[in-house]
Amino acid sequence: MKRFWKILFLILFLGFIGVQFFPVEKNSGELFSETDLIQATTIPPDLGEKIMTSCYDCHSNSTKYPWYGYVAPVSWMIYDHVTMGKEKVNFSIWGSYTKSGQVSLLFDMCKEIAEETMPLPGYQKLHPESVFNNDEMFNICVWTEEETIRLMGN
Amino acid sequence: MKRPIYIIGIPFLIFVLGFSIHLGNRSNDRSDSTDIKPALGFPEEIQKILNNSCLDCHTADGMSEDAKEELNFTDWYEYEDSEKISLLEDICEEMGEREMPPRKYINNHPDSKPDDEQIKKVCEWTKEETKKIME
Repeated sequence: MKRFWKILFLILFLGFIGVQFFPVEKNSGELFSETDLIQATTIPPDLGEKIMTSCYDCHSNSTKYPWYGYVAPVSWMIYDHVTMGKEKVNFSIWGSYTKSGQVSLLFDMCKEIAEETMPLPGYQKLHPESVFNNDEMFNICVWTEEETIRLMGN
Repeated sequence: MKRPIYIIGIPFLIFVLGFSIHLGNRSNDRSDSTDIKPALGFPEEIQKILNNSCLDCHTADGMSEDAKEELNFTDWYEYEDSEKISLLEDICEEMGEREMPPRKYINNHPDSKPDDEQIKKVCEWTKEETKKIME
């Protein structure tokens, strides 16, 4: 029985070493681009900063990786999340979205943040600073509304 | 010793009978309701596709609470413009990626599965509608 555990442990250990040889591309583009949400909109600085802290790891071209983010299979999971996240909204290219695309995303931003479906619950646990308090939620929704009115021109 | 069988058996049979009648009624309700769909004032072509693929669930008397909460066509004209734009985009995206109608629903209602041509039409319509709202 002892031998069984030894072999199992060895297999798992070798497997763990093995998967490290399959690295994934890192999401480390430019943090401040012209098309970035912060540059392309009239978002107040404190809200912009909050969005960067809470959303940019998955929804921008520049992820801040924790130390364990370099270790497979966690690195693979992060890669998948970032790819999916950027597909939904990539704040680094905000300025290149159409006006209606922006309106749609602004609506979703307020909704998902206020309903606490974003940031993802798992992410919130690992990054307590990403959680929005009630004031911040309120302010985000006030801003998305203002920005929507600005875009729709009435 | 035979009695306990009746004590358990008869209520059990009544329960099974009642439950199957309940299920039967439910599926009857459903097939009736497919005939009564709210007129949405959309182009006829689009209304037809929505009738066929979406409105069993996404109306005020749809069968799923979750679906109604996400999108309720009965109240379409009460949505704010920004919400309409967000929903229009979702409609095209979810149908295009074949996330909607849900696979389970399609299994039970094979005719509800939209074909590529229908999806294309819906997406053209959502884009036009969005443009109109943005103007």
